[in-house]
Amino acid sequence: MILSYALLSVLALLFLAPVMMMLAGSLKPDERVLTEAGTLAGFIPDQASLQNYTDVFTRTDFLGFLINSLFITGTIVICGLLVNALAAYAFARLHWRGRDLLFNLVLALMILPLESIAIPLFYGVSLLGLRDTYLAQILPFIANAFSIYLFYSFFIGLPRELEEAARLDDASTLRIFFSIILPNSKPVFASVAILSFLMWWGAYLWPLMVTIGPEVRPLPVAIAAFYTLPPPQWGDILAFGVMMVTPVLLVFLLFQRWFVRGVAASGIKG
Amino acid sequence: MASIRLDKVSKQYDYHDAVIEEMDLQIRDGELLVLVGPSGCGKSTLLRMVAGLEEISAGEILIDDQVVNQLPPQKRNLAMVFQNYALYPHMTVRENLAFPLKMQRLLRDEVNRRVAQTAELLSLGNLLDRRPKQLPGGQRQRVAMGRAMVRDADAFLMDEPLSNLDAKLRVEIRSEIAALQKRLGITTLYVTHDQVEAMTLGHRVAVMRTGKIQQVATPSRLYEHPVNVFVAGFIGNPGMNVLRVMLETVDKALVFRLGGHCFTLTQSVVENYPDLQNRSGQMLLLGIRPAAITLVEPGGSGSLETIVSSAEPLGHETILHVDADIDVVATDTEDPGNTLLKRPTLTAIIPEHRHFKPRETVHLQIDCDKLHCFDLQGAALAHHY
Repeated sequence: MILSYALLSVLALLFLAPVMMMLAGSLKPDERVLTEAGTLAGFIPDQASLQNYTDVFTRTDFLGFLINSLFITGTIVICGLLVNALAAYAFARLHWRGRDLLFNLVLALMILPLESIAIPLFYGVSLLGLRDTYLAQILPFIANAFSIYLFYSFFIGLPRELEEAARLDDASTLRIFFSIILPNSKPVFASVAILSFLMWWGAYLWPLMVTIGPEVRPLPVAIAAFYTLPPPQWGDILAFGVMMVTPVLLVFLLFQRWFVRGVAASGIKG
Repeated sequence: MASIRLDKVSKQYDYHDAVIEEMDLQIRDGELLVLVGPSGCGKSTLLRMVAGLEEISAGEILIDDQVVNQLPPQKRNLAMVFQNYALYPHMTVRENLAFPLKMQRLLRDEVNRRVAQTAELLSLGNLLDRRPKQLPGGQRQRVAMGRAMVRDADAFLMDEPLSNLDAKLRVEIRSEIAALQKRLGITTLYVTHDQVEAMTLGHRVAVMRTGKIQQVATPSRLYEHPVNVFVAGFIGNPGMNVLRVMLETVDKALVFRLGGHCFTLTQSVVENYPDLQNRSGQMLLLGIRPAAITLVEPGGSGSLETIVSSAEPLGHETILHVDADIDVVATDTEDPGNTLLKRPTLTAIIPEHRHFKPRETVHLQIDCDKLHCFDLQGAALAHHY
């Protein structure tokens, strides 16, 4: 028991170390960030100041990028919850011709990495004249095979009698979905929301391809540009990083309870 | 209220044998008909087909003489109570009861009135603001009943509604269901695998086996005049003993031999089964209820010497299983006349609490006035009532 706790503590420290260093570094004067890196002092934010944070706001339009990221990720997550849950419900519970074939195709899509379809997708977006817009960063990613699969796994485990009782009570299919299925599926909605948020909050390649100017750029592309902005200010970059991961941590902490239940209920193991 | 009729209804899943075969069944207006049968016999499928939750492959289902084959469940105006209650977990008892009424777009005052009325009828008044998981099993069952009752359905369909309750609660809720059905006079189709439930609740009982109805009759008629050995073995606890014997005529009396002893059929049995006289010299199946077998002292005339296999003392009576040198048939096969139990065991009910030693020798007497006669295919011989 003690041994496993000790092992887990070491592992936790290992994973936390870079985050702690980023946090401590973001509060230090720029010149000390690199010199103290890799030493114990690198983790101690003595003489802490918020100078690096104010620098980020003066040197870049951080607030603009943050709003872009929140808008893009938030729209993908909210629309994705609705679209993917409805699709999964149709696969799990409704009977229609070609359902199983289509579901298998959707499952097959899960193994395709974005990089493999990025070029044709880019052409499509360009043809539609959507380059350098929010839509180009949102539309292709609302429907998501993995989210559908998570919802499907959860819905298939819900007692069928609940829906049958509702049908006998004269409820329509949509009414059953919104009044019976949805309220009993909070854990999987939380799981999908968190996973989608994590996936698209950190998206870099696609926004880099379809955005030209800073107006619609999200944080990951902005931090890359900030990184190369002369002169290199390591404290500022770390402060930028801290502010970028904070929303992710908040979302996770907020939905953590449901997230764990959702992952357990949908049978997904880490 | 309504009557429900099934006319040659069949159900077959792709590439499989029919689970329901050309079934005819009538549930009369205001009647409580119990469908009983072993697990997997198709009784729940039948109930779901009546509800519209399962499509039928052939035949017609009629509610009040209207064919409803193509009507979706919500248009049939039937209320169903599910085995696992199917209460909406995120809603309070009040919301559960109100849901079907809201779906009917009734005015809020009417919804509240009906919910209050149903809650009072089922003594749920103080539980209205609780969620299902905060209620014990019996109360959940009451809420499920309430949700069925609240909407003025034409008939109730109940799918093993007591199977998740403990034995004591089952007896309690069973009598509540019977009283409610009598009070409301609502047509009810009730599915169970528990023959005690069937016998105590049903105005009539339909015994099912492998997708076919074996017999539909009142509980007492089922018990006293089973149409075949399957019904004889299924109804009654424990079920009827069915023995294969040779019928002979000795001194103008019909007799059969068991374990070296000769038993004479009584005049009333011979009169009840007119065909018996013609069967002398033939094999036939004889049914003996465990209660028609009594324990006697050794040496008595016409007693059967047996060895105790096991005994179940139940307090007011003891169920005794004995091994004997006789041919006992299995009642749940297609060919009972040729399907003998490998270990011939006779079951008797001794009306007292008594302990028996394993392998103890006991003497049993058969009440030859209470015999049931079947042919070798297991069908009851033609008889007078």
